[in-house]
Amino acid sequence: MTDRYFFATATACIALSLVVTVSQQRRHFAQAHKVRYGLMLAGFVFMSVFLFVRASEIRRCPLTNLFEAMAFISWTVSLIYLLIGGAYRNTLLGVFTAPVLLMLNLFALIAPFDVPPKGPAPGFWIDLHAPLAVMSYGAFAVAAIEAAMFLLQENQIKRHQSGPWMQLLPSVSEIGVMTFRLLFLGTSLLAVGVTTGFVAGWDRGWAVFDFKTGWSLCVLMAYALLTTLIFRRKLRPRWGAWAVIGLFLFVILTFWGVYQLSQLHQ
Amino acid sequence: MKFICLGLNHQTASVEIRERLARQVGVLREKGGIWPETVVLSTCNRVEIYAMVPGSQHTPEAILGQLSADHDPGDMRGGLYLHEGPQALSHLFRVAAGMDSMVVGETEIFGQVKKAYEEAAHRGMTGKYLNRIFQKAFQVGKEIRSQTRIGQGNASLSAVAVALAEKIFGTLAGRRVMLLGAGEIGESTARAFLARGLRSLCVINRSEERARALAGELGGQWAGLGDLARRAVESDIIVSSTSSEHYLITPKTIEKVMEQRGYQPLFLIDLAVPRDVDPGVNWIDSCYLYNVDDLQAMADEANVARVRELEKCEEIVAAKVARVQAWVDEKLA
Repeated sequence: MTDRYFFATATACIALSLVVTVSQQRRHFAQAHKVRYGLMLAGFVFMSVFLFVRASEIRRCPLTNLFEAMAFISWTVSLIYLLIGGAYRNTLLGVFTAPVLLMLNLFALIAPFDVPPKGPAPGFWIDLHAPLAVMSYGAFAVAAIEAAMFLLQENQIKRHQSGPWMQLLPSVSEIGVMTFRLLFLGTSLLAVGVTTGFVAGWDRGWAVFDFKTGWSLCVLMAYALLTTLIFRRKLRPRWGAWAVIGLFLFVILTFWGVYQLSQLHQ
Repeated sequence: MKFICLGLNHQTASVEIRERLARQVGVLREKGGIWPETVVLSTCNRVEIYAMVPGSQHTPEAILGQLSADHDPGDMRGGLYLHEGPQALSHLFRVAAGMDSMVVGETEIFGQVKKAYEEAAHRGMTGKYLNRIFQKAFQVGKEIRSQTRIGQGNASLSAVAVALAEKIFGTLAGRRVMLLGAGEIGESTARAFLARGLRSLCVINRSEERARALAGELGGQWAGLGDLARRAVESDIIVSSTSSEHYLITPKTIEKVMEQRGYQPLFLIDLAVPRDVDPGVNWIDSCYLYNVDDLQAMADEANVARVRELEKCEEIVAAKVARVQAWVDEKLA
């Protein structure tokens, strides 16, 4: 499909942004912030065009295979980065986000996941269920990036290292608040996504309980518990940050396997 | 006629001698100047006279003699410097840019030079030469600040402490500070925090009388040492500077405090020697401990980085001096 060229161009923009970032490392990243932000914005625009063209071609939400799912996650992460990085002047978020996006996109482009959809369009509820669930993973991805930034900044301050990283990263409190908001956003999206999935399944008389739905429920409960513990300050911030990263790694590493095991989602 | 700069600063004279000259130039200022154009700059680190002086022979003694007939330069002579023409211009530009300050790159001096000039202008002590020269000095000061990194980093203990607190909490508005001990260094650090809009301050001191007095002065509350743990739970920043011989704050105390605080960040600044806070406190989750050496090291680091920028600044100054001196020479011709 030619629409993949738009996705490849988006990936090239993100790669270029990463090159600019690495080349600016000695100058402490900040100087090329506008160029980096512009390239990420261009990447987002190309990914949006890809999703639009793909949706027009298949006449449904472009989430019919793992390639499209990864492209959608990448698009969501870009959107969240552009919103947070711009509004909160979080210049270093891009430094952390670009490599994650590049890995996601390259994997999606290389792996043989992009198979045409089978059967008729699944209808409104599924078209709502899938993007909401995938967007929640995008929010969890950025939350994990923020958590990594928290651990880095905390370590810098504790070890009395006043280098450029400490100067450029936001305060630990601000990163903590942002991580919580992203967790809350992701959990809410996932809760609505899972609910609409069940509604769609029942509506059609499908057997909605399989390995993937069970996995999704477990992930939702784990994120809901983590978000609650952080909100109620029952978890030490450092442990909370590790939990956010660990849980996201679990999700991203098991997602493909769980998807393969689910007849319902295939 | 020549543009001159006569003065003393923190590098050339003690504070007592600077005070003597400050009194002398105070008289000059009240008189409305001796020469047609005079600006007097008097700060805690320098006392300088910038003037357009007639005649070609100048010595510090002769100029000081004009200030007051019964003036005896005495022990002031060794510390006095007299710059003329381009050297005087260069000196003024360097002073305005903070290049000659005790803390290189500090910005306060720019405001002080501006105030000195405005005061002189208000008294009618400036004319076409000094107006042009001082406007150029302000322009150079701004240019150096924007084109070099001379103002980067925090070069004083209190500035470093405030910058660190901002890296922990973000905005300091609404935060609560506890001042443990009523010493001068702790007080000045607490004042730096108060200037950032803290919500409340509590002074804890062995002498309750001193605690009450300082709390009144700073507009906060006070408490005795027995209240330390309870007040620590309510505080976000603890500034400690007592003369205690042993640790007043131990990891055991702070573990309990942090549990009660729900592990919200706590910033401890230990300015005391010997130290008030056990270093082990730093390794408790969400606790950040800095002692006076840690802060000084960061301030020194910033100072070194600023000094490294001086070469670039000197190039800018040299180019501007040549241009202004050419203008002065043309007008005097």
